[in-house]
Parts: sequence; structure tokens; C-alpha cells
Amino acid sequence: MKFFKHLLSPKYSYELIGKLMPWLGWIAAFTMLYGLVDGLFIVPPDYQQGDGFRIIYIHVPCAFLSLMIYAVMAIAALLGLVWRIKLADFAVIAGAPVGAMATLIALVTGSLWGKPMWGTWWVWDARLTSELILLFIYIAIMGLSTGLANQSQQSRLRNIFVLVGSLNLPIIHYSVYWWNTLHQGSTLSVTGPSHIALVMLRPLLAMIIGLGCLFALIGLMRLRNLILWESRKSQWVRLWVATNKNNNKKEVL
Amino acid sequence: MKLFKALFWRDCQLCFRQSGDYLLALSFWFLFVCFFPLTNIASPQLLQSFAPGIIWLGLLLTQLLNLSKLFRDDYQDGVLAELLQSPHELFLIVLFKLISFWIIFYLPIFLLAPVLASMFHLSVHAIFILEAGILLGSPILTLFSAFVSSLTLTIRNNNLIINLLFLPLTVPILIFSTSAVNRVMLGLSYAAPIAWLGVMLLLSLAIMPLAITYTLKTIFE
Repeated sequence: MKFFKHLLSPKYSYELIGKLMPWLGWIAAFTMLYGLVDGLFIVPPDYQQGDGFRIIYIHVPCAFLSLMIYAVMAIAALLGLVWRIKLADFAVIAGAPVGAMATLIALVTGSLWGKPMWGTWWVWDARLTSELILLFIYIAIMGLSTGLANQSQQSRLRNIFVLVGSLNLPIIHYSVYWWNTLHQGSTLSVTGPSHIALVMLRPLLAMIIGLGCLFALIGLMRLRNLILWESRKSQWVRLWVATNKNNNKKEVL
Repeated sequence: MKLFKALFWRDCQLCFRQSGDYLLALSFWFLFVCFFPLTNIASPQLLQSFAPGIIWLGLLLTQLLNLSKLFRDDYQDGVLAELLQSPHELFLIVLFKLISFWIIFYLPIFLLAPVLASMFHLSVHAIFILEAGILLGSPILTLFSAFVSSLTLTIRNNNLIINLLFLPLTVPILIFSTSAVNRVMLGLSYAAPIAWLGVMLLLSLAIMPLAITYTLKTIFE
């Protein structure tokens, strides 16, 4: 218990995230470099879609991560509600814009992909629509993050909404699926065989890892800023600012 | 039961003493739906095809306009704080308030819907399913909107955020309830969407009052 308290203290978590960030950055850089070069230039074109399919290497990771980020946020919201962990509350705040970004990229690349393949930018298809609704849910969560009258209260309210949303999202997804679908089936599947050749799969997995690390990095940077802002009046931040000032001066000199 | 009676009478009196507001809320829905035939050729076939969607969209908008009746007015004049002090379970109070809201606002809509639907030339069978959809779907709408309303009590300019929070949650209700009617008109089976509405009703009845109670407790902590 003591260990966890230490781990969750703003100072320690700030430092830990700081140490984690370069790792994530390098992993993201390497896997994305491999994924993009292999995916965009080396992998043979698809027999039906030609070179157009290559947008899969951006589209699918972002679509996958847009849901993944929500799952992470829901877990953080639960932790924040049950154990009143401030760090978890911050993770929800930090995660929402990142998730919205992933959703937006998935939507834009999806419509770019749809134009040559389906002949239209936008169709009222199940997955596109549920992704669009997911975007609005992210924006709503971001809206709940502003206007903080009472921070801890607002955090708890936001966490409840995130949890209710996580219960409702599968139903939304299913209902929209029920309503209309044109989208090709899932390319990747955890339980069954994936509908993709191994050569094409490798860069895709690399891109998922790479973009995942990139989004995690952006989220953690936001989280670190929130921690810093939250504990701006505490001793360690003052010390940290003082030492950094000295360092900067040295660099200037 | 005494508690329910007291809460119900209070809400009834509040509504009917300002009967203008109450009538406006109901007639807004009617007016909204009636405006749609004016925007296109009023052929029975076309009307039939968009009737369920328009009726349900109207319901969503009316619900948004009526949202202040769920907790917000009570929060502003301090009644909600009083209710929290009462010896009864907050859970029960919330549940009873929602039930009385449903009776006051949705029962008239439920009764008026066949009139409106027959103005759109829906068949008797389709009207029947539309009514079933309203009967199952409107309590879910009430629960969701009460949740969103209680979440945003302390936010000052909360109108925009309420819409943004509420509307995405209602997508499944909209889809299932309208597709049930559409399927009837196409001669298909309507059992699945109606069953899904029932599932959603049971789930949200189990979860939402708890979430609302927790939210209210958080706000008054």
C-alpha cells in the first residue's frame, strides 16, 4: 500500500512519466518508420484495391486505438471513482482529446479511402456512423472538462459519464450495425484468423504499436502537464522550476 | 407510497399551475412533427416513410426542452437540497420523481401519438408498434435525460453541453424504435428491435437511478 502511495504521489509519477516518455517516443519512431516504409512501398498492392488499400496502415490503427483509448479512459474513470485516485481523474482529462484525435483521423482516412473504393466520401454505414458518435462522446467529455468550479466534484461527474458511456457504446455500436452496414468486415480479429496476408499484416501490427505508443506519449505529456499544474504550489515543483531555470541560464551563457 | 403520492402531487401542481408551460411543451412536439409535411410533397407514401423518424426526433427535442423539470428547477429553488435531507432513500425519491415526470409528460404524448401517426397515414398495426416503442423507449429517454441533467446542475451555461451529452446516448433508442415501425411497414418482423428496447429499458432501469443518485450525492457533498 505504501508502495502504491509513493507511486501515485505527484512528484514520483511526474518523474516516472518523464523517464517513460523517451522510450515511448523511440519505440513509436522506429515501429512507425518500419510500418510506413514497409506498408507504403514494399508490400505488394492489393489484388482488388490496388495501391489504394495502403491507407489501411493509418486507418485501422486509428480506428482500433479510438476504441482502445476509450477503454483505458473507462478503466481510469473507474479507478478514480472507487479509490479517488487523482492521477486517474487526470488520465481521463488527458485521454479525451487524444481519443478525439484518433477518432477524427480514423474518420478522415476512412472517407478518403471510401472515395475511390465506394465512390463516395461518406456513406451512412454502421461503423462510420458509430465512429462519428464516438467522436461526439469524446467532445462531450472534453466539454465536461472545462468550467471546473469544484475540481474533484467535476472529476467524479466526468468519470460517471465516461462509465455510462462505456456501457452504452457497445449498444450504440450494435444498434447502428443493425441499422445499416456496407463497411468491409473486420480485417483483424483476436479470436479467429485475420483476413489479411502475413506480408501485409506485419507493417499493420507495427503501425498499431507505433501509433499506440505515439498516442500514449501525447496523452502522458498532457497528463504530466496536469500533474505539474495541480501541484504548482508544492515544494518539489518550486525546486524543479528553480533547477530548470539555472540549467536554462547555463545553456544561454 | 405516501412519498410517491406527495412527490407526484407536488410535481403535478407545479405543472398545472403553470399550465401554459406545460401545454407549450406538449404542443411543441406536435407542432414540430406537423411542420415536416410542409417541407415536402405531402404524399401519403413519403409521409409514411419519414413519420416514425420525425415523431421520435420530436420526442428527443421535447425532452431536451423539458429537461429543467428534471432536477434543475428543484436545484435552483433549493427543493432538491431539502429532499436530500429527508429520511427516505434518495434512490426512491429519484425513482419516484422520474415516474411522476413520465406520467406527467409522456402519458399525454403516448395518448396523442396515434392521432399524429394517423395524420401521417400509418396503418393501425404500425401505430400499435409505434406506441410500443414509445412505451418502452420514453422511460429510457427520461432516465438518460435525468442523468445528464443531474450531471450538469452545477455548470452555469449548461444548455449546449446538455445537448452534447444527451443526444449521443439516445442513438440506440432512436434506431430501434424507428426501425421497428419501419419494419412493420415493410412487412418484416419487428420482434428484434422491440426486444432490444426492452433490454435497454431493463438495463437502464437497473443502472441509471443509481448513477443519478450518486451524481446528486456528489453535487451536494
